[in-house]
Amino acid sequence: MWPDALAIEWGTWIATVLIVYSAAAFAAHLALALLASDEVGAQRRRQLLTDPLHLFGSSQAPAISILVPARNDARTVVEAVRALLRLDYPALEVVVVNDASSDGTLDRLIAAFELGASKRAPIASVPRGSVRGVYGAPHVPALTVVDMAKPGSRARAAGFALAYARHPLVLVADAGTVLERETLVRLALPFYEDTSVAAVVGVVRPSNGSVIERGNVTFCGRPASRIARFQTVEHLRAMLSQRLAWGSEDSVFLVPGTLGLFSRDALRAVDGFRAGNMGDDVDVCMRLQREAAKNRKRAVVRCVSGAVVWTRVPESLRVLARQRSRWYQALAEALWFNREMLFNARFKVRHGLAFLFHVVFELYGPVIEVVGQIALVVLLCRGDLDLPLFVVYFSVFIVGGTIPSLMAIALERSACPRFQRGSDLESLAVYALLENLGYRQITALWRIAGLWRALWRIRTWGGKSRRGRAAPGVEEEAKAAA
Amino acid sequence: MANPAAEKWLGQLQGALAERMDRWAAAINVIAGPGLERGTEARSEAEQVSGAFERFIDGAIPAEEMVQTVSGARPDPFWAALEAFSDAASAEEWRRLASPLLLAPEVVRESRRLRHLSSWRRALAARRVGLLEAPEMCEPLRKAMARGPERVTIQAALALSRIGDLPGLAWLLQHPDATARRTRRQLVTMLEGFGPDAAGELRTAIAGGKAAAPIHVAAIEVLGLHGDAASVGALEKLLREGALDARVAAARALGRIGALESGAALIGALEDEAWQVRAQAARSLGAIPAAANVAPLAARVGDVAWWVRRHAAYALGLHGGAGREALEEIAQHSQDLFAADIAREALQQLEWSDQIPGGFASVA
Repeated sequence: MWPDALAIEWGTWIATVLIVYSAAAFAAHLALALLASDEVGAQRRRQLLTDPLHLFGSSQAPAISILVPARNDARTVVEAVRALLRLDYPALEVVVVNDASSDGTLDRLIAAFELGASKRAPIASVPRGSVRGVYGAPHVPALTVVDMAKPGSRARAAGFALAYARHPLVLVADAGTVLERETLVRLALPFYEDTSVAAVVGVVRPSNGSVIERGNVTFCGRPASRIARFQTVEHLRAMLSQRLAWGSEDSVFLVPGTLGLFSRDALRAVDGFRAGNMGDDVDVCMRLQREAAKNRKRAVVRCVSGAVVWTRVPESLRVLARQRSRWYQALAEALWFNREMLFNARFKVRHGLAFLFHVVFELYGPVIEVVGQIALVVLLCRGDLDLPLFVVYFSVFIVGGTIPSLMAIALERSACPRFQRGSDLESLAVYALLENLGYRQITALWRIAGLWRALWRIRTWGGKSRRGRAAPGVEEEAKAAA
Repeated sequence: MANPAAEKWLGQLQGALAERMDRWAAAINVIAGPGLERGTEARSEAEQVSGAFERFIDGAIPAEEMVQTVSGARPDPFWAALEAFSDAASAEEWRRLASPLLLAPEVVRESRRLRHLSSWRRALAARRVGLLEAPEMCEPLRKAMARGPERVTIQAALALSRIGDLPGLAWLLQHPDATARRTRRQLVTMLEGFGPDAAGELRTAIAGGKAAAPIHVAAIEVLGLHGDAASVGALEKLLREGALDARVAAARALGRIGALESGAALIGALEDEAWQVRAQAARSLGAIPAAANVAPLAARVGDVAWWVRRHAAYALGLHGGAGREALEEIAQHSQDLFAADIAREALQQLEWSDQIPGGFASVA
């Protein structure tokens, strides 16, 4: 008698907590979608007052260094560097760091650009023996290749690239991503207009199903792979809608590794990319906000909807699992390293709210959802849970997951319209619904795996993984050498 | 209203409400989406307007017919077509087109919007009206500029710079707070737009010897860009006595002017306490090739700051044989490894200079 009553109470209690949690998540995501719409309206108005082509025809465009950390990217690196050198921007340099690749990445670069040994001196001190060689070519003065002696993390490679970069703005790009021709101009414009801008992020979109030639999207359609279609919906929701919303509140924490333009001085002030964690790009953004708050300064991290970068998303579950696990490990580590932003009077309320959102809904969301849903199914099978409560929970879960995604798809039309067929958008709308029936649960499991890896500090760089403490960063090595 | 404070408060409230309404309207437009049909209609309307402009320029239709044709267009396609045409037309064609367009109803309406309650709408009106580069618009643009806020001020100032309105420039230079949050680069572009005739106003603005406000620092840069030899004395004074930003800008401007007599002032600036000034002075000395500059520059290749070493080494590269000899000496015999490294880099760039697009000067 007593155990049965307790079981029923427990079932009701768990279902109620999950319903409240899902409703709160829905409300938060809905609020973000509305904020994103408002921000797109504001950006459209700002756009009417600017003339990027005129401005960047002048000699006053702030110069940009594009840093490309590359490990075992022999297949794509030459085309990627060519595409970067062709970008529509008046003052540009590309610094590639070959992170001790074993597949001939460096040889391909040397052959393609006819590179020779360069005597380029680094700005920051570089530990002796850490750089095997620096390469350049007189006919491509905008390209520098740094060959590292030992492999390390992506952040460490970006740190080395930063030591050789010479321009006031810095962008870290992956060898596999394609920037649209005008992306750099759009990203740099806020730096041109406002002295307080510390970083600007753009929109990352899956290139699967699209044709991009020389930086121009000649065709944009839905991906052929179903897994990639789910990711397209996810990208629109998380990397367009949510980022625009947090951008409107100056609380962007998640800078995509593929598209964040930073002020070099601002990066220096926070000691650049920290090699000790996986989420160098997430972490650096949070540190920028922390540093600004400490010095009672305003540091703006803007999100520009018109600046688009295209990247191929995984089409196999195995690769996707590894990527998601890595992303959430990065998020977990960055949130942990910057935990002082929570409940701290020195930071703005909106920063605290953004941090809380990421902790409650992004970090612990998968654990709560997966454990809760398994518990509900078990309790229902045992007869310890009322069916109506079960139905209410899943209704809130599905509606709450679908509506923000649908709003994000609608936002695509106004913020950065690239899809050319209405049928593609309709198809994605169907995937916004289907996402809640299996895909979300599977990705939640991968995210939990990422949390686990964060807990045990297991490191990865691209496809390879190794356990233990991360390789120290440039500064740390320099100190050790001294 | 009798009470000016209440009147001001009411004006601010109305402005804020108008601002919010504008923003919500834009947000609703975003949620509703532009719609493919509406987009196509707007494009075809803009093409019609552009066609009328082209026919008028070719002499196929008279001014009255052109104005009548474009008067039927909706505001957004009209201004989009005008802006696109302004990029393509020559200065003479643009003057011919702008004059009759001042009578077009949409232009008259837009110039009235310079007094709109919403500051964003005033800023957009200033930008659009400024496209016409008509002196008749100077007065209302100056009023909008003075009323602010900053985004209206900057748009009106850009419009006035296209017209070359010197009273507008004088107001800007006398009210540095109005543009205090804008970047130096944007202010330089704006001041440069006023043209070389504005040099007198700019010289007056920096004559005090302080020039700490962003717009005054931008004025220093623009004097350098114009190669204004008459401002050398004032710039040298700023290089000695100005604030940090002003000293850096003055060093850069003196290098751009390239007057031989500035060499001594720039050599003096190589001893400045701020590395930014030393670096810029070294770079500017590269543009003033004189034998007397070689030794001070060679000494600076061993500076503690990387940028000073870099600019000094590359400046030596621009000093011909004597500079190259100094670099070789440092590269081979200097005990300072950092100095030797940067000297070797500069020497390699000199070796490569035949193959570098634009030559050595383009990388220095």
